[in-house]
Amino acid sequence: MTEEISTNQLLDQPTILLIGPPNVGKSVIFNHFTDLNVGMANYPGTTVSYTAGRANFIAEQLDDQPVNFIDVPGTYTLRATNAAEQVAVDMLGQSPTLVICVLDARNLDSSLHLLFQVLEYKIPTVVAINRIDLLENSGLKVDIEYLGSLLNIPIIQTVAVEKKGLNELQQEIVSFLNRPDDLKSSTPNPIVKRALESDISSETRWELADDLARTAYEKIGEDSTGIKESWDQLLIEPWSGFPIALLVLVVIFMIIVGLGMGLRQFLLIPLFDNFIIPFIENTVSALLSPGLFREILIGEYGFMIKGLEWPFALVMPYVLSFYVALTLLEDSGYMPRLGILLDGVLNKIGLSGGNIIPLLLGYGCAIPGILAARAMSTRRERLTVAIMISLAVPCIAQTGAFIALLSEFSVWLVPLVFIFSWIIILLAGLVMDLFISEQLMPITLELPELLMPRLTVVAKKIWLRFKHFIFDGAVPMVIGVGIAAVLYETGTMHLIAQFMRPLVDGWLGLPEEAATPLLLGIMRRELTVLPLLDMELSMLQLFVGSVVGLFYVPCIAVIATLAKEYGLRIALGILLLTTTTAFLGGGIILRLGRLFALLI
Amino acid sequence: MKDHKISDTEIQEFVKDLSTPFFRMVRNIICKLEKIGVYIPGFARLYRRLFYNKIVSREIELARIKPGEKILHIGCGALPLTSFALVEFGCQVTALENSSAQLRSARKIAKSQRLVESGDLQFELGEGTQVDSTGYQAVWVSLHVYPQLQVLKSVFKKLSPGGRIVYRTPRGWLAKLYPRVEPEMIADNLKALRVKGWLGKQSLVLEKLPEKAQKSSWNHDRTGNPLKILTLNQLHNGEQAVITDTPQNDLLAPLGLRPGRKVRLRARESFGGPLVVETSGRKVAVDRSLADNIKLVRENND
Repeated sequence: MTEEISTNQLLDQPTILLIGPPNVGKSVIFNHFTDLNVGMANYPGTTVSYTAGRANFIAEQLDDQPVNFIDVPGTYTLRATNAAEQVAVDMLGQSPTLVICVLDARNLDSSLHLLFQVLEYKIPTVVAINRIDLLENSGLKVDIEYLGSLLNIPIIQTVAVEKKGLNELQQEIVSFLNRPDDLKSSTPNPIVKRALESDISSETRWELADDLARTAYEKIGEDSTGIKESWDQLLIEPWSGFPIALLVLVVIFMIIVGLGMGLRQFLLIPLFDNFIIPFIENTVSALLSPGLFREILIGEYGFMIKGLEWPFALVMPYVLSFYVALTLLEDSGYMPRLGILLDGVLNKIGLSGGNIIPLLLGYGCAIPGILAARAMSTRRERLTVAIMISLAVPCIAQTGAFIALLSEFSVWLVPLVFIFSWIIILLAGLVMDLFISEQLMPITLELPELLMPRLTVVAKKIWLRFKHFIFDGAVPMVIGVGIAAVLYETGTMHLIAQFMRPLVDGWLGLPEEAATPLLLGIMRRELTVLPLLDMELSMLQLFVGSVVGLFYVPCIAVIATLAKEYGLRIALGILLLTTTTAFLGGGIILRLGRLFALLI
Repeated sequence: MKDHKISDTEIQEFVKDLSTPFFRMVRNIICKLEKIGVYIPGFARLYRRLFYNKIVSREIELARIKPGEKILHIGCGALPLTSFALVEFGCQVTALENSSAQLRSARKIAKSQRLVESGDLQFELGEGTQVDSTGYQAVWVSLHVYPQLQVLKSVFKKLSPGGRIVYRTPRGWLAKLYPRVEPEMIADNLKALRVKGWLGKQSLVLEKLPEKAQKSSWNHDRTGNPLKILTLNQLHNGEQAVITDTPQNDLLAPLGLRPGRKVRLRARESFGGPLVVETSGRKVAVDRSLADNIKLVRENND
């Protein structure tokens, strides 16, 4: 979506920049005005790069003159402390036409301090105070007239997730774009002017922001956050927090496996076995005579059979169930709480609590996980997280494949594979800790308010991620199966299998057809696992196959992302590391397993 | 704060305690360990990577050392790894040692690493209590320097305002072997930051303030009596206090942790994890190394 508008266009056309502290709801406002769909969640650091889009709503009111909107990562101050925040500061330096400074109603003091810093740029600014509903819950409101008279710039109160106040905001933008001079000529009140003077000390500026915030609040009722606070206390205290965290993880596992298996067993398998597959087989058989082409379509790797069954009947249900669980987790605000509980432990392997978010996202797909690491303050954390995700965090498609493959024997092999992957993650962290001497930044993490996830928002997010899976996940998978079908039916696969025999059969103890998944796995992670399904493997072979699949090459799209984020050298290094670990680990497990079998 | 000042007789008592045979034995073992490094360069590198690099770079950061500054390192030992790290950072370092045997091996290993020829590293034989620290921007004082408190006091006296001292002092089990020197024992016109190190060490970074530094009004109650200052880390669960001083960190102020703010400790995470504090309805997790440097006073009960 970033490609839609070039930077040159940004400078030529009226451009509106959204700026504000993290997790205040800038992306919600952006999505409303542009019809785009950038990620939203209840924790700081959801947006890690800028997104530009056309504000069609607004253009309509301005005789279709194009208007650009830019969403940037949230920033507490304009002294960027990580790569993501730097994006916001850079964008402000590009002198946009108008800045919408989104303030957090609950934390006006630091929001106002940020506003002072933004006003220093002397760009026309409109203020939106968001999350007014949360403020009202704590029995307070903002005296807008008072604040407006002091700042002398337009102020709109909004509840962006409910679209409250967004119309007024739009009117304000339109009226500015029609008569831009009005805002430029406005002069702030002497108090605010004082805050904008360059020689003022940081303490005095904070005092001014504090005073302004304190006097702007007005009490309107009782604080009704008491019950929520006592629940929150249980979540963050270690003695109760750890058992609850364990419970949450078990529930998530149950949602993913239970919902996924249910969908598959009762809806998709009957549908495919009784209707879709017979229909395709009959149609193709009727149209084509037996031969190479027909086999490619409906034979062993027939891509009209496996190419549909694997992505849609096998992987899709788990994608759906995973994103249900992840979205609930994201929007409740629980993830940073899990992060601080685990911070002490993560520190021992060179990570900090905040890194739990990219790691968890990685269990959906490695790419958002690697990108989310941009919000981390040190390169050390970014690199460690990227390596861990590429090496040993299976994406949900691969997890779906694991569940299908391993539950043929026992569904308990699934947690076993996961425990093994956590051991490797731990080891990877310890080894990296020896090689990287960069010190971790001491953690300072804001815990967002606990919120009940909103059904409409959750449903929309799940739908978007699902759509993303269909286009970016299922399509490459179908193509991968198509390539396999051609290689298999033309006999090329057999030649390759012969060539790779010493590795596959000799070292890993797998049947020689298992060369196929190794080849396909370069394309998609789950394809290292799926072809093993029909090979009638023993339990040990299944486990070895799973371990190799788990550590093997992260898919080609991940390598491309790594190269973009860290450079080609590191991407190739990670490729080498994962492949070596996969083969070494697989071979060792096979031998240990055999030894174990002998001893019993 | 004046109450913390200790008399000279107390110092002598303190010093007497340290000359126990056990204390000397431990010092010798550590010296022997470092001597292995003199003969095996690979060992020296490993030792440095494991114990020194992270800590020294953190000390440099907190003491706001700039390349080109003149630094005195008291008690460099036979394997002067801290001095090496400082020279590599670009400082001009004078390394002081009171044992000529140890100084010889230090010179030897420095030569093998081509550090002496660069002219940025000089060795001197001498006592820490007698050295003249005027003209240095910063002084490092090693853990095994003895008597550490006296050395620190005399160095501090000669330092010009704005000058910094970094000294290492034990925490945890190591405190049973080495005496622990608190910044308040040295002087009261200073600002102190703590860095947690490895294996029971911690570093303290001191900055000398002008003699009559203006004390913040937070330090005194309404009648002008000094209030007891504590760190965030010393607060009990659920207890409230008012912040008087915070360390240099770009995130603390915007998250609401600023002087004058009332905070409540909500939770203390296990395994050395962060502390969760609440200030005007906002919950923030703060690392313990930062919490150690956030100063507070308890509220008046009237």
